[in-house]
Order: sequence, then C-alpha cells, then structure tokens
Amino acid sequence: MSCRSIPIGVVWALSSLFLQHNTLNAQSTNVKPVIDPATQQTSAKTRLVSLKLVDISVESALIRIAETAKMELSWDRSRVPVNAGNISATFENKPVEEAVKQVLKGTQATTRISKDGKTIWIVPQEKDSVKRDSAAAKVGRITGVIIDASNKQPVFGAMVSIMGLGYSIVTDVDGRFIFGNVPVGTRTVVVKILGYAGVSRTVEVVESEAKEVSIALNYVPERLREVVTTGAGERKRVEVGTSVTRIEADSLMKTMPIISVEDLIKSRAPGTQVLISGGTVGTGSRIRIRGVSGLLTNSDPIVIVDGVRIDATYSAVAGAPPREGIGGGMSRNQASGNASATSRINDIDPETIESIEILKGPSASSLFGSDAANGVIVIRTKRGKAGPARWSLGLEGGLSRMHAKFPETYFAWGNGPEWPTSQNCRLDMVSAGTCDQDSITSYNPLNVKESSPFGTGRNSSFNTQVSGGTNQMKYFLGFTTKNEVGLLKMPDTEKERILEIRQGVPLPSWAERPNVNRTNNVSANISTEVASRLNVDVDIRVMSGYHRDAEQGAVSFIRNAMLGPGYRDSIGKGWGENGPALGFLRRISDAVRRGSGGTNARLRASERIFLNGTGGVDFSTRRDENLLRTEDLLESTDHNSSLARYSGEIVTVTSNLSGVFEMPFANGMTSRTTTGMQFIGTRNSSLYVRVIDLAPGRDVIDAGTIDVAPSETRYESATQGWFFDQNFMLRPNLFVTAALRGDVGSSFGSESKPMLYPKFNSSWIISDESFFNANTVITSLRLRAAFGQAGIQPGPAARFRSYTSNYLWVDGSQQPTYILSSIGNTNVVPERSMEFEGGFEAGILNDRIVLDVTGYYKRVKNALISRSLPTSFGLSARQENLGNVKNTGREISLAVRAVDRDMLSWNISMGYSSSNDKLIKLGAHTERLGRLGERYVEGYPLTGLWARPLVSYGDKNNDGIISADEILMGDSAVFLGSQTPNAELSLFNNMRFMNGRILFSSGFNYTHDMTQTNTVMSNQCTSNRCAIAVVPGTSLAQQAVFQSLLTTTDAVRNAFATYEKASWLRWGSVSLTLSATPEFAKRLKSNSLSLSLMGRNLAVWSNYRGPDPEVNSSTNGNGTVDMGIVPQTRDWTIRINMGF
Amino acid sequence: MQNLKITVALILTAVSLACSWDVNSVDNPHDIVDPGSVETPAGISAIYRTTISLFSSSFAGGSGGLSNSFVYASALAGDELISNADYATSLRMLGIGGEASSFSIDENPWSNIHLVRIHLDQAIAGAIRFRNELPDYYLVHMYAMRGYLSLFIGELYCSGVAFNRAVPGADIEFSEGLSTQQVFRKAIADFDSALAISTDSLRFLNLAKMGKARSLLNLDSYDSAASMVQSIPTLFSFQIRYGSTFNNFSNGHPGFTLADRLGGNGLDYLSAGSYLDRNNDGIDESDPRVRSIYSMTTFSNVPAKYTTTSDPVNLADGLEARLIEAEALLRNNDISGWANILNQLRRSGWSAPLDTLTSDSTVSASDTLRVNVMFRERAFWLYTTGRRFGDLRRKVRQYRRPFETVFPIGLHPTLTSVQRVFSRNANLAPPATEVESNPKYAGCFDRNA
Repeated sequence: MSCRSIPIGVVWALSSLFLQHNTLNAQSTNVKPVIDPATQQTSAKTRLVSLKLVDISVESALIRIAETAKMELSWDRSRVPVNAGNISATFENKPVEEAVKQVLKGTQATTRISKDGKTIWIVPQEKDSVKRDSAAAKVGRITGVIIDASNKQPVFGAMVSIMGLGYSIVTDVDGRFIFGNVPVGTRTVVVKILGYAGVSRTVEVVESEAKEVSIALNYVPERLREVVTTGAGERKRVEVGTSVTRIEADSLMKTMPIISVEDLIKSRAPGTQVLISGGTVGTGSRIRIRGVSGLLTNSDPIVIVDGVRIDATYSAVAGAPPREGIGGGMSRNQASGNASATSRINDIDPETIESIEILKGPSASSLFGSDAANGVIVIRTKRGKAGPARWSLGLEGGLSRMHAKFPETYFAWGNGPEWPTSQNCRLDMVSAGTCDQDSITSYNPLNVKESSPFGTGRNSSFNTQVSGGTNQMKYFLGFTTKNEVGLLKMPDTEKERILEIRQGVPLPSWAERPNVNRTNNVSANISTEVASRLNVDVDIRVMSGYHRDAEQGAVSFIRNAMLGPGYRDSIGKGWGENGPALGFLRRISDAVRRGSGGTNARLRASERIFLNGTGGVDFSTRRDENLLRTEDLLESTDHNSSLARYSGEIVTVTSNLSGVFEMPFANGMTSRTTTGMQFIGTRNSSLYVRVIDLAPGRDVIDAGTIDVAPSETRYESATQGWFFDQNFMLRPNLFVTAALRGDVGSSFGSESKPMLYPKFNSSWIISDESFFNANTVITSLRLRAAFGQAGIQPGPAARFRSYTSNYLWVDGSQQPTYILSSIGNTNVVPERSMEFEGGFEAGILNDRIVLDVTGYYKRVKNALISRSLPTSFGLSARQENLGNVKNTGREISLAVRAVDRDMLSWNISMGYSSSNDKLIKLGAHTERLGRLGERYVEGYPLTGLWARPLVSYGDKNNDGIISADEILMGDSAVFLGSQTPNAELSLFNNMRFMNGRILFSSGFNYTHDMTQTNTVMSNQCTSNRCAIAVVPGTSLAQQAVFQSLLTTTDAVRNAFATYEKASWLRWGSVSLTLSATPEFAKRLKSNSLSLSLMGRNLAVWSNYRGPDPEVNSSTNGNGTVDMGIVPQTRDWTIRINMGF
Repeated sequence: MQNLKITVALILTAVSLACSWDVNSVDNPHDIVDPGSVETPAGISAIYRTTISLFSSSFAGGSGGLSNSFVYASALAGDELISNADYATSLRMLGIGGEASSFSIDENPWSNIHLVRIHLDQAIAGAIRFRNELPDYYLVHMYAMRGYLSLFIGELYCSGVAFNRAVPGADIEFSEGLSTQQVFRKAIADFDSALAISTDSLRFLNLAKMGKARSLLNLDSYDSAASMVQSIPTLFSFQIRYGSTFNNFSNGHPGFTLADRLGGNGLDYLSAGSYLDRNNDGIDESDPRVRSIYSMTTFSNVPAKYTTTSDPVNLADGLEARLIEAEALLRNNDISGWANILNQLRRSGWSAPLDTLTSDSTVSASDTLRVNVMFRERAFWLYTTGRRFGDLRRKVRQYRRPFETVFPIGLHPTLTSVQRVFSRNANLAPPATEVESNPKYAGCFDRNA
C-alpha cells in the first residue's frame, strides 16, 4: 500500500482523540503555573489546598496542586524523579507543603520553601551513600553555601562532590548543601555547574564537627548553555553531538569593521571558507563549508533566517554583447562585459543580526534534508526585550584605498636584420641571435598616480534600532541605510583623452565613479504571548539596493594595464587595447528589491507536548542593466551601442510544522520525541533581452535592434520532507539522539521513492562523572560524536530533454523555433553525503582556556556533477552521478582568557581548519569531467589542477638565458595543486582596559597552499610583457617557467606556468573602541556612548605573483581564477554607537 | 500507555501528511518546451526551422559571431584571410598544428556544426514519422544540410572525428573516431537519402547534388562528381541568408584583412584585387572576385565581397558545378575542354567579363601549372565561401603536392606574438573537450591531408 493512500482524515481523527484525552489531565509543566495575585501574601506553609488525585503521575499531581493552590512549584526534571509512578490521593484543606510532601513520598525528593514563602522548590534528598556513612565512626559534617561571585546570590542546582568518596549533592534554592557523615581528614570539595568555572576547596573534617564552606563561583560564558539550532528545532548545545559554530554578530558589529554578512562569517568559523571575488564595493563572495565535497557547480550552503529559507544566490550581473572584432576569439561568455558578481546573502542587514550559526556537514544538517549537504547557515535576527523603549544609534563613515602593487609591464627594444620596430626583443630571442636588446622600458598605468584608476573610496552608514515592550508583547525595529562609493575613478589622463575625443563634452557623472553600492534595510519583529501557552513571533524584513560596477574580468582595465606597450605612448597612454574609459563607461548595475518574513507560533499544548509552526516567504526582484552607448565613448566604431536587461524574480516559500513530546522516566532519564514536516517551494522567473545600435541618448530596449531576442525563464521546484527525532537524556550529562528525515523532491517525478537521511549523535560531559578527577589541568570536558546523511537534488530540469522556444533568423526573417537546451539524464539521482564527526570541548585551568577540537570524515556517494560533454553533442554539459568522494578535515578553536582583571582583560581566540577532499572512485567515467586544467582523478582532490610539468632546465650554452630547447616538459599532465586551501588559521586578539572602557582588537588570517590560476600574469608573459620574459638577469628557474608557457597550442603545458600555489598571511582587521563613562554619556542624554576606529585589510604577505591571491573571477563552481579582478582594498572606518 | 498513544498519533499524523501532500506536481519549467509537444508535426516544423537558423550560423556566422563558423575557420586556417583580432586569435587558428586545441576559437566551429547535427537527427526522425503531414522538401533539405555538416567536418578536421548521438528517449552514445574518407562517405549517404525523395523542389535537390559532387571530389571521384552536377545550371545558387544583426563577412568588418601570398604559398588575393593599371590607360584591371576595401578603422584591406551584415553567402552554386566539371576534364587530360570551361566562366560568370586565361596558363602550360590554375580559379570564384581550405588539403592528398608547396609556411607576416610559425599540419584537430570528455575517442589518428 502506498503511503499516499493512508486516509489522512482517519489519522487526524485518531490523533485528535488521543490528544483530547490527554489534555484532560495534562497541565502546565514544571516551573511557572499561573499565580493568583490574591495569594501572593500567603506562605506555602499556610496556604491550604483541597484536591482529589486519581492515578496520575507525580509530576501531574504537582501541577494540579500548583494550579489549585495557585502557588508556584519548581523542580528540575533532570534531578528530581517526578515520574516515578502514578499516585492517588485526596486532600481536604491541607497545607500545600504537606500535600506536596505526600505526593513526593517514596520519590527520594523533598521540598524547600523560598525565603518569601511563595515558591516551593522540590529537590533531591541526600544520597543514600551519605546516610550509610553516618553509621561509621569518626565522621564530621561539611555544610556550605554556593554563591554567584558577581551578585552574591545563591546558586541553585550546583553539583557539590567530595573527591574520593563518591559523595555528591545538589544545592538547594538557597545555594546550601550538607554532607552529614564525612569521614574525618582532609577532604576536597568540588563544585560544578554549567556556566560557572569549576571550583575545588580543601576542608579539614573534624569528628562530630560541622565545617562551613562558602564558595563563590565565577560566571563564565558557557557555550554549552547556549541554545543552538538543529533540524529538529532549538536545542541546548550540551545535548548536540556536532560542532556548531556560533557567531555573536551583535557585539562584533559595534566594534569590528564589518560591512556584510560574509564579513561576519569570514575567519570566524573554522572550516568555513569565504572566497573573495573582488575588492569593489558590493562584490559578493562564495561560501564553502568544510571544503568541497561534491562536484556540482553549486556547492553553496543553504541559508535560513528566523526559520525561513532565503535565496542566497551568488551570480554575475547579466552580460552585454561580446566585443566582436576586439575581443576577437573570445566566446560570447568570456567577453560579455561583466562586472563582479554579487551575493544575495549580503541583502541581510548585519546590524540586525543577533547571531549566526553554522551547521557544517551532513552530521549536523541531516534534518534539513535535501540541499543541506553543503551545510546550513542559520541566522537569527535581534528580538525585542521587555521594558521601556531602548534606542540605539550607529553612525559610520570610512575611506578605502588600494594598497596592492601591480607588476610593471615591460617592453624590450631591439634591433636585428629583419626585426620590426614593434617587436618585443625577448631574452630567448636574444639568445637565438634574432635581435639585440637596445633598452628596456617599463610602465604600468595602475602604478602611476595620474593614470591610476584607484582613488579614495568612501562609505557611510546610519543605523537606528528600537526595542522594548511588555512580557506579553515585545518588539524590535531596525533601520539601516548604507552608501558606499568604491575607489574606482576615471583617471585624469583617461579623462583628458576622452574629453579630447568628445570635443569637450563632459563625461556622464556616473562614469567618473563607476562603482557604487547603496542599500536600505528595514527589519521589524513582534513577539507576543497570544495566550498563556501560545507565543507568536512575526518578522518582516524589507530591503532595497542598487549596485553598479565597472567592467572586470577578461577584458578589464587591469588586464589591459598588464598588456600595455610598456611605456606611456601618445595614443593609448600606456594601456593595452583599451584604457579604463571603455569599461567605466559601460553602465553595469543591478537593483534589488526584497521582502521576506515569517510567522512562528509555539504552542505548549500540554505539559509534555509542544507544537511549533513556521511559515514564511522570501521574495526578491532583481533588475540588471548592462549599457554601453557609443556617444558616451565617441572613440571607436568597434563597439556597438548595446543594452542588456535582465529582470528576475525569486520566491521561496517555507513551511515547517513540528511537534515535541517529552516523557520523563525514572532515574532522571528523559525522552524527547520530535516529529515534523517541512515544505520548501521555489519559483524562479526571469526575462532577458539585449539590443544593439541604440539610438543616441536612449537607454531603453525599444530604442535598439534586437540582438538577443527576449528569453523568459520560469521554473519551480519543491521539496517536501518529514522527520522523526528521538532524543534521550540518559543522565544529566549524557545525551543520545537518533533521527530520520525523508524527502520527496519535484526533481524526481511523482513516481520516485522518498530519500531517507538518518542521523545519530551523542554528547557526554565526562567531567561531570564522579570518576573524573577535576583537580587537574582539565576542569571540564565534553565528548561528542555524530553521524548523519544529507543530500543534494539535481537541478529542476536535469531529467528532461528540454528545449527553449525562441525567435531566430530563418532564411532572412525571424521565426519561432525550438532549440535543444538540455540533453537530460533520466538516470540522475540525488547525491548522498554521509559524515562521521567526533570531537571534544575542554575547559582548561578553570576554563581560562577553552579548546574545541573536531575531526570529520565525509563520504559522498553518487556525487552530482555537471559533466562536461564532448562538444560533438552540441551542448557542453549535463548533470550526472559519478563515484564516491571522501572529505576529511580537522577544526580547532581555542579561546584563551590570558588576563582577566578589572583594569585589563586580554582574550585571544584562534581558529584552525584543514580540509582534504579526494575522489575515491570515479565509476564508469574515465574522461575529463571538469573545465580545462581541472581533472577528476581517483586518489586526487576534486578541484585539482593538472598540467604537464617542467621536469628540468639547464643553460646549455651558458648565456644566462633559458630558451625553449633548454627546458624539458613532462609528457603528460600531473597534479599541481588543489584550488581549495589545505589549511586556514585565524587569530583574533581582544584587549580591554580600564573596566572595558577601552577595547583594542585585531585579527589575522593565514591561508596555506591554495592553487590560484593567475591568468592576468600569464597573459602578460605570453605577450612578452612580464619581467621574466625580457629583463636580463632574471633567474633561470623563472625563465624556465616562462618558456613552459610559450607553446600556446598545448594548453595543458601552458597551464603549468599559469597555476600558482599561493599561501598568504593577511592582517585583516584592527579596531580601537573607546566607551564613555556613564556620566559623560548622560551629558549627551544617552545611556551609552562609544567611539570605534577600525581598519580592515591592513597588510598581506604572500608568495603569489599577482596583486591579490584571494580574488576569484570564477562565478560558478569551485574553481579559482584571477583574471583582471580589483584586489581587496584597505579600509578605515569610524563608528559612533549611542544608546538611549 | 497514554504517552505511547500520543507518540503514535503524532508520528502517524506527520507521515500521513507527508505522504498525502504531493508536491511533485510542480509545473515544468516554463521556458522549457514540453518534450511531448516537440514530437508533433508542428514541433518537428519548429525544429526544422531551428536547423536552418543554426546551420546558417555554423556555416558563415550568425548571432553567435563569426568565430563559430565553418567559412571563418576555413578562411583563416587556409590562406584567404588574416585575422585582425588580438594576436591570440590568429595564433589559435595557427594552432591547428598542435594536438587537441583547448581554445574556443577552434572549438566553436566544431561544437556549432554538431549542435545542428544533433537537431537534424531528431528532426529527420520526426519528419519521417510525420511524412504524410509535412512537405517532402523538409526531408530533402534536412538530409542535404546534414550531408553538408559532414562535408564541413571532413574538410576541416583530421582523420578521427566523433559523431556522438543523442537520440530522444535513449541515453547518449559516444562515438569512436571516423576517418576523413568515412566522413565523406557519411555525407554522401545523406545526400543520397535526399536525392531519393521525390519532391518538386529543384532547389533542394540541386543543393544535395552539389553536396554529393563536392564529397565525391574529396574522395577522388572526379567523373562521378562531374556527372552529378551536369544538370545544374551555372546560374544556380543556394544562398544562406542572414538577418540584419547577423555577422557574416560584411564590408568593413574590422576582423579581417585579405591575405596576400600568405606564408609564401598563399594566393595573391590582396594584390590581385587591388587597383591595377598595366597599360596606364586609367582602366582598373584588378580581379573583381577578390576586391577589398581599405578600412579606416583597422587601417587594412577588408573583404568587399559582402557589403552588408545580412548579405547571403553561397553554400552551393552552379559556378562550382562548372569548376567541378572542369577539374574532371583536367584529370582526364582534356585540356582544351578544361580551359574552355574556365574561360567560359570568366566570360559569363561575372557582371563584367574577365580577361580570359592565356594559353601560357592553360593549353601550353605544364601539368603542375594547370593544376595551380585550376585551384586558383576555384579560390577566386569561391573566395570566402569555405572551399579553399578543403582544396588545399585536396591538393596535398589527391594531387600529391608536397605540403611545403601548398600551405602557408614560415613566419606569419603580421603576428608579433611568441608563436609566429605556421603549422605543419594540414587540418584542425577536434577540441580538447572531445579528447578529454569522450571515453571512446582517441584523438586524430591521421594528420596527413
């Protein structure tokens, strides 16, 4: 019987019956029943209760008493056996405390009444072991109180142990504890509780005497108490068996130079790479979590904001016509006039983010189902807090400059018998006697002030937020406006040249500063307690943005600077084919409008059943423009006026529904069952059209001749999943979870079977075990392990042989046609990833040092790949499954409180990650599957670059010059390196002086061994413009590499010189924050005031020959290509934060 | 017990909801044509129109640019044109000497030709299925186009080319390499299929005849070729037409300069077409078949054969039919008959008669010179129509001329780049993607002509 045939109505009816029955005696759970104000003055000892209980659990009985007496009862289910069995009892005007005691009879729990008499605490009785020892001779007592050092308040629930005796007890509501029969002698009392540094104290126990011990605990921000997100809902970190990185965005934003969500993530989550695609403002990046484990072009993680899936696409702006004639052999895509790519994750205003959690692999992301194999980024926005309206203001302004150095462009002048004056007299030509060098000139307009297109960028932002409300309704409202002007500017020399051509007609103003990025964000949410058991949150975020950039990439001004004549010539002014004017006068922009939001409802249906529902939508429109008008340029007939427009709309709908059922057992064990379902639907539609020969002064489509007929794309995809998650708290310090997710996706058709993704994990705070000797260097230790599976769906049309309909020129007129757009693959199935993860978190030296170590082993089966088809199919690729991929890595984070004084505190945090991916099995494929130079070879990394190696070289004729016949290249391509770094290291250093009034922080990151494709440099060398081609005295090794580049028909050989293994150390950030004293702040009628000076990207040390080893023009896949991309800038920012 | 019931109820509810909610019923992508609607007479007609459009692009240029076309590749790989584009373009075209090239310039003609072929495979199968509902000439035309595609591949590429298959409803099939001879025979099979269909469209039948004759010529079957074109009138031409925004070899296009004695062995197109007044009588005696225009954009002579971007380019014409007949006569040593045809064309093939060939270059000439004249006449009459590169290869393969006396050799005249030396190979190699992505493909197995 197909599961689809289960009559849903019957099931609903059945479940309704069950639920209805249980709600009759299902009451509020353990902490806060409703208190009647009239009883507020009555003590638990005097308040009377009348009640009849029939065969209900102890916990239910307690709840009934609390409700009837309208008193507050409180207990910790993990420590008190309130589910030890069912009872029956009748109370007639009985004091509440006595009634509670009667219910607790036989449960080894007793009561304590708070000092004000309003609350009854239910706590465990002393351990039997303690009582047993009371019979022994020569015993004494240890009594004491545990308090919080910061506020001197008692600490309830702390575990107090006596080392070596196995005695342990939990402190009561007054923080007190008593060990009644302790053998005399020197004893060590150990106190532990989550969130405080563990403490031990030596006590001399004297016979028949009581030793009073008072211990103050220091609060430490205990990560294990944090609530983190899992696919089954929110959980305490302590019970989660996977490594979840949490970034506290709120505090970082105020003191660190952060301009985007990607900035927040970069270097702060070990194992998460942010691949920079350029240094112009508005440029996005790609995010890769735990390296590359799949081969599909889209290895992006999914992004969830407040429970709602959002679009985080990384893509280039729509292309313009190619430069036929000038671009020559370039294909349409290569020379399409693109600017840098943008990333939609940056539409989220970082000012409104409270925290970001990164779930790194299938072991953590299983329950997010299909598409989650590349990890999940969970973003929580700020919430309102009860109280009067609290306002905050943030004002920011900054400057950016270019600090990268660009290699000079050389020209070697020479003469010879048949030597044209335009020829560049290369070293090996000198060696061959073809020419004699007269002189060498060098010039790169990027390095000369008057011709440099790099000016001073500026940015400003204003942010205001307000939050407040009551316990029943809290609100938050935030607004941010940001205006960035990139450092690109039309160079003075170029301006003069163009003005001359334009006969004095001024340039369009936008062309003088071609790179801008402007955004406005509004974010609001309301959290309400609709009823006593129902909470509803409503979120909404609205964003508008405009981004414009100069042309970059294959035809950019950077590439042209590298290919210049090697001197400042009169026509081109030292540039190659084109100066920056052409790229700057191409108006390439994208405008985004976006709205997203959702509603989350949480219902406590009964004492043990919680229901959670989230519905949300993310809607974004994007309008790209790529405009070049010849009247703006007036210098060349090689370029048609052209206008390309792209309008896109993406709608993503999220619907989650889950139920949690908690069931306590005897001996403190608790079961929590979570089940739920999820629906993710996406509709993507776009329209693209391109015209040429625009009428002068016009920038609308109907003012030109259609070059590419309008093409409309619209597709939908949907994934429906359900999950079942079973968690057991076996002991307060031991948790195990087993879960299963099933998915059905639209990609596979209606007949497909659900994909099932299992998950297991466990967490054990071993340091809470009595056998653990806490009196050592390691004061706390948690072990964790996890296993999980996740998947990736093929594309929405991967199965189909598909066609697009277009109007094409047919015999001189345009007619409707069908063009094959995809060959399709009916055999394609989802990719499946499985991952083992294990690790530990250790608190060392009273948690002054916290070490978190994780290792993982991931294996991908049926890895999806966009397989390069031989072009004799006419089409270039299709999605296929191939063999298995292995991915291993280590992640280490270390937090050190080096100094912790009022006048000075110094915290250091370090993150290290290494990642190694390897293709284990290629299946039936033996041919090249990726782009040029990228090969998928069993036993080697997925993103490996291959080329024929330079085997040896030698200066046979001893002329100091290496010629083509003096190098030996290997016969076949060998592995040269991976495009993902082997290891990354980050270091953040925070120093607080004078009670935190002064904060100094700085950040460094180091990347080791990433193979970059240095296309600009190789182009410079192949045109004889680089130093190693022409400058005498260049090392023989460099000359040999250069010679390997010269056989241009053999791309595999050529690539050897193009690929560079790069490592770099970047001083990424520095900031100094001064906080005003409260008195000074009040003078400005504010509650808080701080001023920050922040620097970003201050220096880089690298063996890379190009200007920036990190930039990457590859907009798809996992490759790295440096092709004429603006390097990252150095920024300085001042920020003022005020709170009211 | 109650707890268990609650748990069971929750699980059953969730599972049943999950199972009953059929999200798979999302619409197909809207820009994608429902594959079912393609397999109808109207759908096959649409693909037929697609093949015409794509064929025009793959032949002499189109919306994808010149670099995608067979004529472009033939002209640059031979001796007709020099590219004015950046050094790399010319360099890459000279890269025919290498092994599999990885550059798009070499890849584009290859992939475009095959893209049309894949469409034609499907359209021909569909047209056969709906034969009663579609005009007869559809099949004739499509068979002829597919034959020409094989012809293009045979004339451009080495021995060892793949013809992969992607039949609807079946998985893709990789192909082993075919020899040049096999490719021409494959072309002939398609032309025969076209000619076997009864249709009243003489235009398409003549197109197929010309294609078959050209294939036969490549297979050394001169008499059969001549016999095939006997019925084709000299004024016949089958033109590939272009839209206004298409790029063919239009007047003033900045991408090309007429070559002049390229690499020593190339013909004197530029000189022959330039102003010439031997008698100082003020009358231009230059050859109008290879005229050029001096471009103030590129400061070089660009072809004047096509004056606008939408000018048609001849795929087949009666002029070539006569040239094929002439070549057959030359092979049969009927010198006067051969010379007569050439001179007849000179008298009637152009709007203004051209000078007839002298006896020094015909009847009194050596065998070697006669062959040279034959090929020169073909080169000038058929300038930039995609015949020349195949002819150069034929000259080596069928007339046993040494490579060094036929193809451009030595240093390129204008390039300043690192690689200036002309290739020593007489054909293009399929692009790297074929070599590296087709598991059955072993690369070129014969780089001889």
